[in-house]
Formats: sequence, C-alpha cells, structure tokens
Amino acid sequence: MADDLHFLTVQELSRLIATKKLSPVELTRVYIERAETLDRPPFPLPNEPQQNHGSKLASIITLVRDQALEQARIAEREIGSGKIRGPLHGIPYGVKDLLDSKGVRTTWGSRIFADRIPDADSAVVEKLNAAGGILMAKMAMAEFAGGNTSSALNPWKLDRSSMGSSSGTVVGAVAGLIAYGIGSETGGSIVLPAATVGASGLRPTFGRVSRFRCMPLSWCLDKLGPVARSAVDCGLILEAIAGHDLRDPSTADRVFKFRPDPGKIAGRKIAIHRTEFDAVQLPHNRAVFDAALDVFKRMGAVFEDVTFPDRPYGAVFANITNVEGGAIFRDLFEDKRIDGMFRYNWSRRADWLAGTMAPASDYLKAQRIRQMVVTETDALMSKYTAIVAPTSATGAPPREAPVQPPIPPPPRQPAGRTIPRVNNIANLSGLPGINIPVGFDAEDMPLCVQIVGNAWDEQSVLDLAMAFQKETDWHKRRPPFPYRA
Amino acid sequence: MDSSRREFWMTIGAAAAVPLVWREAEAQLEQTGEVSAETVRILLDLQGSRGIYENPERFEELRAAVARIIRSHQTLRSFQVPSDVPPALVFRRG
Repeated sequence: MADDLHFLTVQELSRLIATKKLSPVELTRVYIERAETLDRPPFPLPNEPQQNHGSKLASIITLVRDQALEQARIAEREIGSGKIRGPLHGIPYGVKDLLDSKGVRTTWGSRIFADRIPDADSAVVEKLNAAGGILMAKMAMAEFAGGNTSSALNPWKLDRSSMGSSSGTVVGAVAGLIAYGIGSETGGSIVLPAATVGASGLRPTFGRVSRFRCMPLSWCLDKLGPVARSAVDCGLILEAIAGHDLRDPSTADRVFKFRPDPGKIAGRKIAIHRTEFDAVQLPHNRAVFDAALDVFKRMGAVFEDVTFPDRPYGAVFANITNVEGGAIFRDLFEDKRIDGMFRYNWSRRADWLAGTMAPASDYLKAQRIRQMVVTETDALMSKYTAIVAPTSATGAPPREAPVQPPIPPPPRQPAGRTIPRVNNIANLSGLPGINIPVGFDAEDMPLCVQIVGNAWDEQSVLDLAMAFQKETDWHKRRPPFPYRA
Repeated sequence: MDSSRREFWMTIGAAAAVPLVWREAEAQLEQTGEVSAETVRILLDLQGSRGIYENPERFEELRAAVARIIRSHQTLRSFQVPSDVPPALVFRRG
C-alpha cells in the first residue's frame, strides 16, 4: 500500500482516514521516509542553486519530523474517538518557507534568516492545524520569493527548471513528498512553477486568504493559495484557509464554501485569449493546447475570443514591486544584512534600493494605471465564466538557462509588439486562477493552461478545472522520479 | 557633477534634495542614455550609508537599477489616465 499512498489525492486520503482504513501516523511516516530518501541534497538549504544534488530534489528546507508525528498521533486519537474535523484531518502538508510556523525555522529562502524561528503560527498554518492538518515540511523557495531560481529540481527531468518562487511546494506535491502545499503568488509564483511540473495550483482572489505572519513581498499584490494533485483538492484546501482576518486588513468578509461537484459545463461562456494560444510556436504544443480546448468544447462550453487593451502592465508591476520591496526590506539595507543575499538575487536587491529613491508620484501613477486595468478587466470578465490561456507556451526550460525575472517576459508578436498576458493582468487585477496540466511537450514535460475567473468566483474556476480533470487523466500522470532501471 | 555641487546637495538635506537629484538623474538618462556614477552616488549618500554599494561592482548594479526604474517611470508617465481614476489604494475603516 505504501507505494501508492504518497500519490493519492487529499480527497482519496481523506476517505481512507475517515473510514479508518488508513492511519494518519502511518501516512505521515510514509511521507517523511520518502522525503528523507528522495529529497535531502548533499548541501544545506537555503542555498544558491547547486550543480551537484546527488540526484535529490531539494524541495524541503526543513522537515518537521517529530512535531509532525506528534500531530499525527493526536489526529489519530481524535479520529478514533469519532471527532473528524474535516477533509484535511490527519493529512500531512508543507508550506512555502515564508509562512511562520511556531517553533519551526522559517527562512524566507535566505541564508540571512537561516536561523529565524518564529514564536507564533501564520494565519494559514493556524487554520490548517485547526482543520487537523499535519505540518510536515517547510518548502524551498526562491530567496525572498523572487527570481525563478530555486534549489528544487524538477522531478520530471532533473535538468529542467521548476521556476519560482514556490518551486519547492510544487515539486513536493507532484513528487509525492507531501499531500499538498501552500504557495504564494505576487506575479505568478504559484501558477508558473506549477506549470513546470504539472501541478494543480490555485491563486485565490486578492484578499481571500489572510497573509498574517507571512513574509510580504508586495502588500498590494501578494496572495496565498493551495498546490495539490487535483483541482478538487485545491478547493478543499482553499475552503480551510480562506476567510476574514482582522490581522490582515486586505482580507474580505466573504465566505468560501467549496462545492466538489462541478455541475454542468454546457452553456458556460469561456473567453479564449487567442493571441497567447497563437503565440505557441511549436506544432506539437499547439496540438496539445487545441486538444485541451476541445475537451471544454465537447462538454458544451461556449467559446469567444477576447483581446486585452495595450497597457504598460510590465512597468506597472515592476514599479509597484520595486517600491514596495524596497520599503519592506529597507531594514536589511540599513543594518547591512542585505550583503548576505544570494548572488542570483543581486540585481533584484539593487532594484529595491532604487525603488526606495523613486518619487512617490510615479508609484501613484502605477497604481492609477492599475486601477484602470482592474476596471477594464472586470468589465470584460463579467461577460464570461472564465478566461483560458496557456500558462506557458513550452515545457519547463533547462535549469542552466539564464536567470529570468519572476514574470517571464511576455511573448512578442511578429511585428515586435508585446502580447498582454492573462497571468500578468489577472495578478494586477487580483483575480483567481488555477493552473492545470493538459498534456506533455515532445520532450515529455508537462504543458498547462491557466483558467482565470471573476473576483471571488473561485468556484467557477474550480468547476472548469474539475470538469476537465474528470474527462482527462493528465493530472494523474506521475513523474518517473526516482528513476527506475 | 563636481564635488562642490555634491556638497551643495548634501547641505540641503536628504528630504529636499532627493527629488531634485532624481530629476537630474532623469535628465541625464534622457540626454546620455545613462545616469552618471556621481549622481547615483549622491542619491545613495542621501539614503544613508553606502553599505555594500561601496564595492564598485555592486555600485554598477545599482546604477543600472536606477536607470531601469527611470525608464519604467517614463513608460508610466507617457501613459494617459483620466484624472478621475484614483490609485488602486483604499483606506477602509473596518
């Protein structure tokens, strides 16, 4: 049984636990042993990207062994006495290492904070623990959630990137080291790495999930969301972590009640961002994305092509993140700890410092353009259930490729014009989106689409993803790691 | 910018001087395609201690970053927004 357990979904594990066919202690041991065998590299974490991994994934910065087993024993006792807290009860999870966990070091992916041990839990960890979850691992991430460079290797091919910044979380979920994880996204850090490994990763609406005791990167852009092996699981997890929190004033007083039945897709209007589909240049990949759209069409969805107006999306994003990042990390410059930042992040460090010098009027102009983008996007989106676009036109690039900014540059049209990307617009507009796998490229790397919905309508996004996953099995394909002879 | 001008900016005080020096940096980028090292050095000094940017290699990274952010400002400033569009910042009482 142990050989299959680590790849079961939360929904499947939950059924086994509730019917007492599976012990939370046994399950936790399976994950811990798998992580100890497959994940720990021959160098300490956090670290600069390394060449010699000894064929280990390096997706976990801190494995919370003893505490996890103790939590599992408590869960087992509760479930045994008939007290079942919900679908996450007794199931081990990991969180990106920017979410505080009481007594467990939380490094923000940086050696500057390698010994930082919080004295309280983040809101998300509080909620997951209250739901009976078992915190098992603090997942690797790009230092200070920036740059697409992370130590975590891609389990589909170890020489491929898992991007960033939530790379450890997506790798851990897809490689079966944790049952699910929590990532964070400022401009694409859940959905983009999820696409490199074929994970189901959900970016909720801005304000849906409390960021209390979470490392900030941009106060007005940061979101926290689930990464899992199915869309259903993302919904179950989101329900557990969503909700108003007075300690995070960005959170809204709105309830999210997840419905695992996607209902009928027939008649739902899906906007297709055709320019991004047309920008896919490899014929094989084009065929994969076309086939994915055909699945929705067969279910009766109604398609309509849409375009977004030409706006300086990239400049707005860069300005907001540089200015806010500069303000957030100012103390590190003051006391010179910034000197310890990893080499791959040095240009970002300089961008933050430049951000502290920039005029406030330009920051406000960026936020005014953003408001315009929000208004336009809401008006367009209100006509549709969701909009769909490739998350990335290609499978994961080689790991040794030059370091990219957190948001890959948008594809260019033949005339040299930049194509607006749904991912950038959705992040600026605070809209929910889910990444789901829809096939593989010619080199057997996952290809994925992002389904973006209206604000506060995660259910519709999940409906489309769940319906797609009922019709296909791409999300059930498992990476060949560890490779067998 | 010579050292006497640099001293002049320093005597004005950081709060007042930064916007003026920043404007000078913008003008330099417009005219020469780069921001002079001296101007970036003054901006840096006005921020406080130079820290790691005493290192010439690190300093060049900062010089490039200042140019990047000014270019992004040029993009933002050239984009017209109706005057009744407020910034996407909301102060809300609970």
